[in-house]
Amino acid sequence: MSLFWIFSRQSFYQQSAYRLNFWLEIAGVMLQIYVVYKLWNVLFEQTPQSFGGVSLPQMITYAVLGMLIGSILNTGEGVHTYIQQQVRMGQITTDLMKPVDFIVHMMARDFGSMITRLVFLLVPPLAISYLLFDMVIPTSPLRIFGFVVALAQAWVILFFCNFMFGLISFKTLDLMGFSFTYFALVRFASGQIVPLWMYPDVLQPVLNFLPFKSVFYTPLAIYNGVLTSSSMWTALLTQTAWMIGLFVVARLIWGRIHNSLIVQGG
Amino acid sequence: MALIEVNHLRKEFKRIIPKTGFLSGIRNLWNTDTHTHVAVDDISFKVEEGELLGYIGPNGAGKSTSIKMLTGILVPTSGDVKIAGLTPWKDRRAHTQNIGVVFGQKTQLWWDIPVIESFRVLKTIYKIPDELYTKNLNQFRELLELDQFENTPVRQLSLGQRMRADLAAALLHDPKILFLDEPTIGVDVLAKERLRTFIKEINRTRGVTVLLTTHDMQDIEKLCHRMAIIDDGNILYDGSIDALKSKFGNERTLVIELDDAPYRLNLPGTRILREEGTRVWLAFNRDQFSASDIMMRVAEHHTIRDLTVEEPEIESIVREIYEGSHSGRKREDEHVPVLDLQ
Repeated sequence: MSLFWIFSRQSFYQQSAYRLNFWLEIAGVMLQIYVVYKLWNVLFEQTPQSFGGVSLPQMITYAVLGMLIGSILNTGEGVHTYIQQQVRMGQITTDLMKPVDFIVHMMARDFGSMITRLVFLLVPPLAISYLLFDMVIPTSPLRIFGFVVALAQAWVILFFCNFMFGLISFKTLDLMGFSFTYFALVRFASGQIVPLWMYPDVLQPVLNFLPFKSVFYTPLAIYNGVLTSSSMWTALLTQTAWMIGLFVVARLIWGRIHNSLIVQGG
Repeated sequence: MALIEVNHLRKEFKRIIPKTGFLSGIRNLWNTDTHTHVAVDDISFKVEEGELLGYIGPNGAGKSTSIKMLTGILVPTSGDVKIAGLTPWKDRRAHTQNIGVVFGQKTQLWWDIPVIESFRVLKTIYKIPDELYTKNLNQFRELLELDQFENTPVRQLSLGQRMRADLAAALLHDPKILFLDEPTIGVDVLAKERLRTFIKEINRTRGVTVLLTTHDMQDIEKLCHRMAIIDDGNILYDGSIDALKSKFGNERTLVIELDDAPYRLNLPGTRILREEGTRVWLAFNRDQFSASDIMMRVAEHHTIRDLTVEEPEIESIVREIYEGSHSGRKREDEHVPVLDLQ
């Protein structure tokens, strides 16, 4: 546990090392939020009926929070980019020579940066968004609890997805090319930008079959009140199942890769 | 039992043979033609506790690959290694507690955060008890003058400072063995001296066994009791440095400064080691010629301004051994030093 704490501490230092970067990122997040806010407003006014019985504030909440959570559950940057960078520079050796399990090590590292981003990039913009826009406030304690659990599990799921994606770089020594596909797939299939209930019925089985739905859709839909009571519990349990499943697969794959390792350079 | 025992270690890599010609870039995407490259052929040696072993060889000789196997990052194709009774790639986690590793060209410190914060992370990772951590840190502060820069982010450190920080980082958990891969690379003379003193000191006072790879023969001469020379994945020499000197040290070098450079001769029995400006370095066998012989023969064709005779340095001996191992195949240019000089 102390490992998770020390990496969080380290990550705060890291974040504060680049202050300009931080402010730019905040500005970028705010701009994105404004864009999705405008976009959904316009779309909603045109055809409210195609939103499947969701109110405008619910929709805005979903979209704004989707953007914000996107900055902490990161698909563009995370454990996979870290692994890829370390492998390409031949630096992964230093990570492998630590007396800590590699997956736990990577998890602690990712946790650290997630917590930092939560404090810096989620909380302040969320507060500003509530001041500016008309958004849903989850009042029932059960819903808040569900959201927090969903968010935590979503982080674990995305971590394992990113981790396994990052492992590709041990074989190819690079992720370029794969990265964009992966990024697009996660954004599309997780419902980060467009809520999954708006996709055509043909796609639903496919989306249900992928873990990404659990990453963004589940916490967001719990927060804005689309998933309630029994459907919420089902979604949370689905997340748990994904977590365990992905953990087992990641362990297996990592075990195999670790035994046939080629470290570049040196 | 020796602390490190290496028996018939071998590592092969499969490399993809890149296609050439029409659409080669695209065809390479599913190219599966490989050839086997033997990085380490057959290496065996032993290191006793408290030894300071220099492990040297030209670039691509297999040094780093063998170090990677000894540190447990790479799994060998065949052969066996036992370090403090453990097999590095099998008992990885227990093994990492026994060893400290410094790669001169890489750092295990976090780039953007102060050195001391990196140490704290390592303290947690290695589960170092508080008293030990404080004791070690204080000692390193004193020996390496860490307090000058311990609150500076690593990216702002000079190379010499970074190496000092990296050395301290590798030793915080009291490892039995320290692997140093080119620790003095790119570091200035003074800083090198300081690093060497430190390495010597921890070897002496803490009994840390050190395995050092380097291209700087001064490191070897000043630090090591023993050295192993490796090339083409095999050990060419393993023994004390004094023995090496007396065995191979029959070569002398004559440094001649000419008025009418460049040097145009090709005297039998001499070898041009280096030419720089008006000076030329000639190697000769002192059992066959005397320095005055050669001087007179040069003087017949050139005007000599100055000259000195150099004793055999470990460097030229090592060069001779490298070249000897390559005598079977042709070098592109036999005057190009095989070693990277600083």
